[in-house]
Amino acid sequence: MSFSNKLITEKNGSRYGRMIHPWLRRKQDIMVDTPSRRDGMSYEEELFKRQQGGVFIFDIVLHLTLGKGEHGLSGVASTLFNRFFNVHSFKMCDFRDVAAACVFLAGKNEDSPKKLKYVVNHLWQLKYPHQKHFPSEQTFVDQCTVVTYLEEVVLRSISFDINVDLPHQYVLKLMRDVEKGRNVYKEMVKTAYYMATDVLIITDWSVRYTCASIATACVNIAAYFHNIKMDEIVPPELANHWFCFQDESMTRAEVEVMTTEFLDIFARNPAFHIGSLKKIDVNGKVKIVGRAKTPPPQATTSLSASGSSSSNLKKIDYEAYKGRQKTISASSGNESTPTTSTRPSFLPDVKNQKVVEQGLMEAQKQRGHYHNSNHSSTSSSSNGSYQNGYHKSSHHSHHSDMKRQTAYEDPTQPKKMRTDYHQSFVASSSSSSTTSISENGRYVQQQQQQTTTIMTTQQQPPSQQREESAYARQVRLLKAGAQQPVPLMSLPPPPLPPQQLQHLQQMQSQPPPQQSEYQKMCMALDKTRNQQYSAVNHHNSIIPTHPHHHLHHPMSSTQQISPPDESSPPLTSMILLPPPPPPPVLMPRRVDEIEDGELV
Amino acid sequence: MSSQPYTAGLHQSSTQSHRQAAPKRPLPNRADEPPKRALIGQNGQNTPSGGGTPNSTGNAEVDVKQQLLNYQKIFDHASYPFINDVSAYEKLSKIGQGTFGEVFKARCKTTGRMVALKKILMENEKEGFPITALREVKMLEQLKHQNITDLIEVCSAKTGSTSTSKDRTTFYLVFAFCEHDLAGLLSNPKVRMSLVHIKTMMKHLITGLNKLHRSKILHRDMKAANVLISKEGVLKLADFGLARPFVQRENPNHPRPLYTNRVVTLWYRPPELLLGDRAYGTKIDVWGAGCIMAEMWTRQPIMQGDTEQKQLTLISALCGSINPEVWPNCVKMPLYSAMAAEPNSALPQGKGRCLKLKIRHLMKFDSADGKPQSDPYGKKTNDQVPSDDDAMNLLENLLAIDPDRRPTADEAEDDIWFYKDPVPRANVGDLMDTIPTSQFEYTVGKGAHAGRGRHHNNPQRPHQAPRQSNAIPAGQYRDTIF
Repeated sequence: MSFSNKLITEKNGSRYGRMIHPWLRRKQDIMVDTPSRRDGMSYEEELFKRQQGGVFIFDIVLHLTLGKGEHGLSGVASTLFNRFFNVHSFKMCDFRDVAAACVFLAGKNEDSPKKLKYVVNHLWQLKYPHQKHFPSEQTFVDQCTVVTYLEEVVLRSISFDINVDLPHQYVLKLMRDVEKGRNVYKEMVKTAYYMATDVLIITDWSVRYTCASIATACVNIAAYFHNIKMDEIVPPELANHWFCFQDESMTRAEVEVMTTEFLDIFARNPAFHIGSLKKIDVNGKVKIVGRAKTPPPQATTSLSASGSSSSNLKKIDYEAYKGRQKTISASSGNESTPTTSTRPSFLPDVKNQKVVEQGLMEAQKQRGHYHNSNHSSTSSSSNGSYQNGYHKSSHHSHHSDMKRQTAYEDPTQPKKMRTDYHQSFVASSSSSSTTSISENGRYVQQQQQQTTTIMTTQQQPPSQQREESAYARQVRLLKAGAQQPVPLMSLPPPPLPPQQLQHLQQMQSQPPPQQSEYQKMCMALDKTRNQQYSAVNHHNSIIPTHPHHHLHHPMSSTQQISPPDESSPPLTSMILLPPPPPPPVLMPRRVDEIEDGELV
Repeated sequence: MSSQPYTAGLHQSSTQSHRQAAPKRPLPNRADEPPKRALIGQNGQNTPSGGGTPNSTGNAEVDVKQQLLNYQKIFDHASYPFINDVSAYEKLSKIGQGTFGEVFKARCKTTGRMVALKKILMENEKEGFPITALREVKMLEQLKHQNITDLIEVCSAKTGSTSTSKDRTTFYLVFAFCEHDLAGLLSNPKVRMSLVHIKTMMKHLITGLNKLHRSKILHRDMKAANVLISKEGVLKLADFGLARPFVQRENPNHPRPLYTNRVVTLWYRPPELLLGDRAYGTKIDVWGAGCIMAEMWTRQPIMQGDTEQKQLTLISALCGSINPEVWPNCVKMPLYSAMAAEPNSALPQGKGRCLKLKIRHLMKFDSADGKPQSDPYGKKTNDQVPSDDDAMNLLENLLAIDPDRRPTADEAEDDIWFYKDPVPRANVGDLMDTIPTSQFEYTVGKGAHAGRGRHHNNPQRPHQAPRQSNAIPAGQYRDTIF
């Protein structure tokens, strides 16, 4: 288990676990000088890359753990990632490779090692979504070498400072002190606990604040979302120092700064709403920039109707709030129908092809004929939307995925999925360069509007759209010449004319290829090994007319794939990390790699 | 080059800092790739060209390779502000060979401090950096204790960037140097240890072990060769190559996690491991401590089996038969019933416990004139000097067949023996002063446990395989030693 989370106060007088090297830097220092800055990268650009890297890590972990997610793994990996880029510039390498190496290393570090081949496979699939398989063995080997090489580079860069502390336990400790056994803020503690991982991912706090400070900020943010004021609930003896819990350097102002910063990121980047962040804003308190036209799917619940409770909070812009209410209610009709549709367990639709390859085909078999009937009624035009939804799977909870997915499958709602593009920036950028454009442009533009304060933000969506495209054009002009059709997220490519967009969509909607030789081999081998798969193989072979079914409709057993935040350990337990999930059974295992005697 | 997609990040930097063409560095030797990857290659032929990407197979292949070369070009010459290069140390001599690498004696060029460099072998690693080494670093970072070997830092060395064979980084763990190891010390008949020396060393050993167990770590390779003694006479536990963190079982109904039972050098392996237990706990290290304690007087490992069965037979012969009477839970051991049913069983019944009989006469108090009575060859006994029965009791407990009856390291640390005269001292510096040269098992014997004890001419000595098999890389199993 992660005994690394123990707080050690000896040596160096360090308070943050054994942190040998000075990883923590103040924001003003980071803004002035980092390796990336020396390469001419602005703080905003660097931060955005860090966030993208974090989300990429989150995705890989999600895929490695069959959609469960692993708090410790993604938290540690993103911490390592951020440390790495304290030493090296983002311009030296593709951060996605580094992210994969960090996940690989963090897996070993957390004592739940992930096989190199799985990490590399998922890296490849996330990096080149159009090219599902390695073109050749040599490419695979090279990619493996890249990851192991970068792993060594990471180790050298962070100088084996691998005892990474995580904020989760501090959240629990702090709340235990605050609650004093009252146990009335359970939901809030839950929120704070689960968001601690996501905060590490979408901020650069892991190289700016101690874990205790991050935990304090998480609690404060969770309190904000739950309409609670920390100052009102802390017991009197903690009144003036609950925020400097285990870290005397914290101040009340600093917590406020962190909260504001987080809400800023949260409001600006719907794409970064990963893991628990999707459902964090139950009371609809933050107006999401760039989402004004599309009501956020997670706000569909009636919870937002309980706005009266939030009226006493001075930070809320009532106007914005009212406007938001309207959009929600307007959309609720749209959304509710698919939600209550006949496919309550359709989450797996959005899962990746890998999951199928990973041999989890039993459930698909169970629902096989259901898919058939349902899908045949879907027009081919919905295929495009279908694929898009599939790429987003990793960013949204299965709950919302479920809703949206059903919407995608409905050919009568083709517009819906278009607008949804904006919400999954990373996914869309990795799925097709066209969809990422607007988001890219928007992001950078938003970065320029540094003065906006989120909580009172009242963006006018249409004007914003205009500005954005203007900016995108600017960027294009700026980058003209060195431009190439790279789907690398950092480079905002020029916006494509709409026709081209359609064209690309059509290309995307082409049915994925037939089952590959390799997959067949895998299954044949599995068959010989595992009797339960034989039935599935048989099933697959009798529906050759819907190969994409097989590829994009993996299994759906709710026990196996559950929303990451709900599968996590009960809050009362002090054990931070859920046990590692069973290893994926992607490839038939040879006798000599059976883990039986693996050194554990 | 610039027409290749997906390398935007690289291109930027290569145009900035590496304008010259990439040196054609040979790729790391991949001949040892496991054949399973051949499957991938076949997969490649079916690669969909669809999905809307204009670039297809060949491009990406070149791309990845190019990317690798670019990374190597960039990161080999990047600066690493937090890690020292091994060139900061001057290698003096090779002093041993651990589970995952060689150990060198070295001197820090700036401070002159003596260190031990432990090289981490990575040649045959399929899964990147060995997890065992990672664990060792991680645990040693947390285990700062007087009686646990001190990890100073981790160094890196770029093994000949011009060489053709391996193009990978080598890492060295830098430890504070200890002059002797216990195995080497005990095998030297010139080293005369008095009772207080033994007691002090045992106290240190148990204290270190207790620290380890309190930190929720199993050592899993307790043996005399892994116990180091510094020049100051402080004993330190070393070699965490097999160690791992464990989970304390708080709820007895909750099943314990299973670990591999292929740990611990055979001579020091407790009966539960020999019987295939995988839910073991800290008591396996306690058994090892008992073996080491007995070795203090016998000056050689007390049970030198060459197979698991032989080892079990030896244990039965010394500590009495293994049966449910002395160890109620032994029937739960995976191999117990199968082994007990065998005609020529490795678990002979009806054996009495003769540990006391065999060792008690060696455990003498120092004679009145202060001369140590422990005899390096364990033959002569001075009947006039009484035996130390408290020591005998502790040893009896440490070497209990039933793991539940063995004391924890915490209990053993508070054993009455340590509070009786002669009380343990702070260190055994006075003993160390009498030994002019370093005593390492490796350098003394030039071979595994060679030349130790009185069985110099015994053809039944365990064969000399250990040294070769010790050279196996991390991630493989130590029990091939036997």
